[in-house]
Amino acid sequence: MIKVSNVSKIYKNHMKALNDISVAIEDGEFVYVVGHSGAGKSTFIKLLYREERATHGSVIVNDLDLTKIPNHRVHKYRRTIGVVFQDFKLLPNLTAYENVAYALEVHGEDAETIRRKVKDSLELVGLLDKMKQFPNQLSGGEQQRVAIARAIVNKPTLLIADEPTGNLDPVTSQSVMEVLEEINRRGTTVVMATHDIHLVNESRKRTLTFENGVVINDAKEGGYFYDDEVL
Amino acid sequence: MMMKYFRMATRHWREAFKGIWRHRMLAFSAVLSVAVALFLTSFLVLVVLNVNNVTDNLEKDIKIYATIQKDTSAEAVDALIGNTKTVTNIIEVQYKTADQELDDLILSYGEDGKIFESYRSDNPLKATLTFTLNDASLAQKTVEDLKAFPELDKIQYGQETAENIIKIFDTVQQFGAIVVAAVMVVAVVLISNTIRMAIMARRTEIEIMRLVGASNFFIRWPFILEGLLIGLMGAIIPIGLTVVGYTQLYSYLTNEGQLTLVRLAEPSTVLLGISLFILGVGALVGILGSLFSMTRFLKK
Repeated sequence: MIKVSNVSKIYKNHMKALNDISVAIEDGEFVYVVGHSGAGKSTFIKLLYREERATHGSVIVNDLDLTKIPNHRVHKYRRTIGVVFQDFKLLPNLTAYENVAYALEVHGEDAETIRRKVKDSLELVGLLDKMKQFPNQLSGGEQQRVAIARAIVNKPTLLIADEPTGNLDPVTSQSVMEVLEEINRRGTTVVMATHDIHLVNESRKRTLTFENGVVINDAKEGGYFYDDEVL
Repeated sequence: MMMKYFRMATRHWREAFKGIWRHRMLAFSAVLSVAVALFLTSFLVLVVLNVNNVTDNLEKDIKIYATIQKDTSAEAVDALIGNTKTVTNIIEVQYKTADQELDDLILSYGEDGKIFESYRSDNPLKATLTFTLNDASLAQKTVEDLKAFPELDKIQYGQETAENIIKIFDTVQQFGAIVVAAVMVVAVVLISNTIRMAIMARRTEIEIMRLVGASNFFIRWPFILEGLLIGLMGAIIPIGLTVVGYTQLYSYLTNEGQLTLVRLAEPSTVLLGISLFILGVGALVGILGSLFSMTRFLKK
């Protein structure tokens, strides 16, 4: 469970990105985070994978207060979650298989475990047949699915996706969404920041709308909310 | 667990070698600079070791010379020798008559010494006593003790000469230490730059490592090893030069009979120690250079 309580975030340049927000997300939920650029959604996402630390308030994920864990222990928390980005963040000189395996290698897993887990993960995103290809030999959607495979290879309880479809066309976006929904169906909580109005309105999942650093709407049944109207 | 650490270690070393290869020109300049710094260090350490050797010998050689009053009788000289032997710190007393002193003088001038033969009939020189000391540092005190004997005329020892030589060697050492420190700083900066380039080149990879939960140690190890390798490679060259150069110099000075004033320490007694020392300093400089860059560019 994620419990964000009275959180504010003020950056070093005195910019206030979040202003006293409180949000609770249950295990197994799929939640969209939407809002204009600068609304605070990226900061909210960064707090969840502890790239940033809240200035005030508490961010509790799976009973762990992220505002209290010291920098040198963040890696232990990160091993329990998965993160996906708009720009995929794949290593160009590694194959799809090696990119996914990388997440396990840094933990010192043995070769057999790595082989088994990577194949499971690539199978889930439908890319087992392309595991020997390098990122530049894959389409944008496929690259994003490799990134998702890497994010879930450790079987995280929480998957955080920051604009995962931002660089993709609508059809490809749909295929990525299907993968994320499948992962969610298997029990992983998914929190996804997006700008894509159509995506949000089509799939009708809980949607948090940010504006000027506050949550202006928490739509349990989904829908992109802005200026007092659901688009 | 052991297997896990072994896997990790293998990976870190592989990454470290890859990093050096990727920035080989920069790494090469860092290795060269470490080599220059360490060669100077090695040279300086050898000078220090041998200076200590020479000054030890000089101090050991410090003797007190005293002339005996002209009118002292033979019995009084015998008594004087006996009595001075009992003075603390004196272990040996050597007596030379005035004639023996003249012989020495004539000999020391070689062919030209014959000119002094005319003094045989009326020798202006005095008989002397030479005192060998147990502890050279107590020479001044012994001189004071000897002044109690009225038969002794002038009492002197080579303190000033020894002290002057030691002072010159001290200055050489201090100047050398400053030069070595300066070159060492340049070496650390160069290694630090090499590591910085390695960090920059792997920025995306480091970001991904962080995201997938790699520990700080895991991220840092390859860079520490890279610095260590550069330091060690930089140490091998000066070690080789020192071993070969010093052995050659020692055998030249010994075989050619050149070894009169300066007695070099034996290679077997100094070379292993100095090689390990240089290797250690190389490793330390390498690791320092890495840490320097990491604290600046790998903060979080």
